[in-house]
Amino acid sequence: MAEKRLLYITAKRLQAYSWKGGKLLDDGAFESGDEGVTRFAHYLGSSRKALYYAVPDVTEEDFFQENIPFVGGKDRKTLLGRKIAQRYRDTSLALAVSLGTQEGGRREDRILFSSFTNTQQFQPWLAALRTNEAMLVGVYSLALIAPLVAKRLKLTTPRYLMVSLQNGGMRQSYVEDGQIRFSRLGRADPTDPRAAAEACAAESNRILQYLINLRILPRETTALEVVAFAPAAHREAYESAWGDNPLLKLTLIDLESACRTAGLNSAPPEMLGERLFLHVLAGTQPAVQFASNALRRFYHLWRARFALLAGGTAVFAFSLLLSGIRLMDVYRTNNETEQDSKQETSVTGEYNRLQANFPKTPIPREKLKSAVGTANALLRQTTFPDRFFSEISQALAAVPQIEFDKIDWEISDNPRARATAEASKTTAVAGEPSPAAAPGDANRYFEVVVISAHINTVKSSDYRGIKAVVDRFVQVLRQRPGLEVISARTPFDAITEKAIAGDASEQERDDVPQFSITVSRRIGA
Amino acid sequence: MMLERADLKRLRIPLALALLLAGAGAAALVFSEARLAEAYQLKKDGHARIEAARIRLAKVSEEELDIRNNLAELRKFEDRRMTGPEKRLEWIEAIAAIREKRRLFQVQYNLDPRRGVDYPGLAQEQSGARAVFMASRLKLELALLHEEDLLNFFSDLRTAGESFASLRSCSISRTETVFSGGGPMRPRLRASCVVDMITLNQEGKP
Repeated sequence: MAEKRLLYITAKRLQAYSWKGGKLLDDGAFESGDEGVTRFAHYLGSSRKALYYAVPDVTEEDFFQENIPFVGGKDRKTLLGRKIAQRYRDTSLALAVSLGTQEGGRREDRILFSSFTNTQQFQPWLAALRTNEAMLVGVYSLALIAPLVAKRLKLTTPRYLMVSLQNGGMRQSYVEDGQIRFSRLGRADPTDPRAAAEACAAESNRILQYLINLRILPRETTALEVVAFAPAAHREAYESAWGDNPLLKLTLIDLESACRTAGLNSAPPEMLGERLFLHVLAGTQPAVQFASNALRRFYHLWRARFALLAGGTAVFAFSLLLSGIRLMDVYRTNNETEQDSKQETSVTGEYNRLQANFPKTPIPREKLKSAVGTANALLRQTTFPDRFFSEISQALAAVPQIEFDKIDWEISDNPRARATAEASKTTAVAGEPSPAAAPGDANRYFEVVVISAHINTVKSSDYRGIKAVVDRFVQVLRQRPGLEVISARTPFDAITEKAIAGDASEQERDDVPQFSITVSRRIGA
Repeated sequence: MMLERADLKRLRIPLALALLLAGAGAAALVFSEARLAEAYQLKKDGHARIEAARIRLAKVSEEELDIRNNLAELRKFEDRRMTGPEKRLEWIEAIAAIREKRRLFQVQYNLDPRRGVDYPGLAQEQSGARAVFMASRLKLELALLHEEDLLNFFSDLRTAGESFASLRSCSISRTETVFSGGGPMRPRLRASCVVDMITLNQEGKP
């Protein structure tokens, strides 16, 4: 983390402090004027990586409350800018703080405008900061820090006047509902406790009247609590200076105790109340401050650099974390895989031990299994036509008019396809799909015979005679057990399928009538 | 805008570093993801293997019984001469012997190079070098006196061929009619047949 430096600016000088681990270290005092500014520039150059917090503590600080129409976004920004410009001649160190909305009738925003009205006195310091590219976090005032101090000290009073004595003077800040409403720097002699106490009492009364006049405080109100920081030794002086005041209730807090409660471990001895405020500022960093973006440019750059590097590092770290988790998963998974592998080795070993007692096979086991399957399938479709031919021969003998010309025998798993192919051949019907095997024919094989034959005693024009002989032959074949006549092609079939022409008076031809029959027989039937 | 355009130049190095860090992180993620996926795959494969091994072990008795049954089956096929080597010379001699014995008019043969048995319904692996059974295709042209000559020829071939013969097709046609009259003995039938001589693929033997 970058070093933090706090610049306490009064009308006469700039006092620089370093803040480390709850300790404020004196870095030096720089008097107003060219020499002081030059020395300050050298000081800035000594550490370009430090973050600077400027805290002017001057009398010229204005507070003004106004209600504005409730608008949001860009319009609000424009409106606030215009209001600031209307009120302040120099707007370089001005701010607007929302005090909440006011309901009833038109909804309005209660805005507190505040500005340093004479910025000329510390412009040289700001210029040096800009020139030296110092990372100015912001310009704050003790008034802005006052609510944070109260919060750090766990003060629960809803409205109070915080009084503290600094090297710059006596600061009185009125805080309501945790937000600054008014602040003023008055004169006081820190070396004389009695005078300081009297000044505190008198100025508190004056501010109370002022707040009532401005209607910031109601006229009939309970006693306003005045939280004053002073050394414990000055208690008596404060209490005696206070007297019996029904409108103001004094709560004196020992400055040393408050510093300890806030976590300030040590501070230069010459610091007064500002040590508490500067320490709280360094530890808390309020969002509201006076400096423009131009003044804070190098701080924004630093933040952007930091965000980029932090973002990159975060992504890297997150990725590494996820990767780590995954690699642990990998390690765990690999261990499990190794365990599985050992188990597999054990199971396989047991299997191999048992397998060693298996009978020896002439060919590898897998091939043996395949060979047996194939051989069985091969046997299912292997046969010789002895019996089939014998059946056909007996059928031919039963119909002596028929004499075969040709017998085509083959083995098929789809005898109907064979018959169709035969029919296509004779009728020249192309492109007709083969019929599917009959249901139940899967894994069954058939002997298929196509018998081409002629009829001796019937004339070719005697279709009825031919049909009668062929029908008789088919009938005989069908009577043979196991035979199935799949198709029969006679000359009569031909005349029913195509156009024919002839001469009835013509002398009868000597052609021998021919036909073909497809018969199948299931192997093994 | 809090930063000016000129300020972006000053952010080049941090931006590059941030991108580098993010890139390194992403690379670490990708690497670990890949390793994890690989580890899961290995585990899955290992699981599958161990499951297979367990199933194998559980079925070891069944497997032994299968082998014994297969061996018994194989012996049956040996008896049917299906598991012998290719015997081209013996087949040719057998054909000549049968012709002589049966006094056949003419037996012409054509023996093709052997190939895997690829009949319908046989396992897919019955092809190429992986085929268990091989077929040496024998194409026969026979001139016969009558049908019985053909049946006797095949009967003799099965006996004398010392191999398993699988007849695939046969076409018998009549060369002359019964009314052709007497005269010297002439072939009356012509047969064209295809027989596969089945042998075992010897490359598979251990």
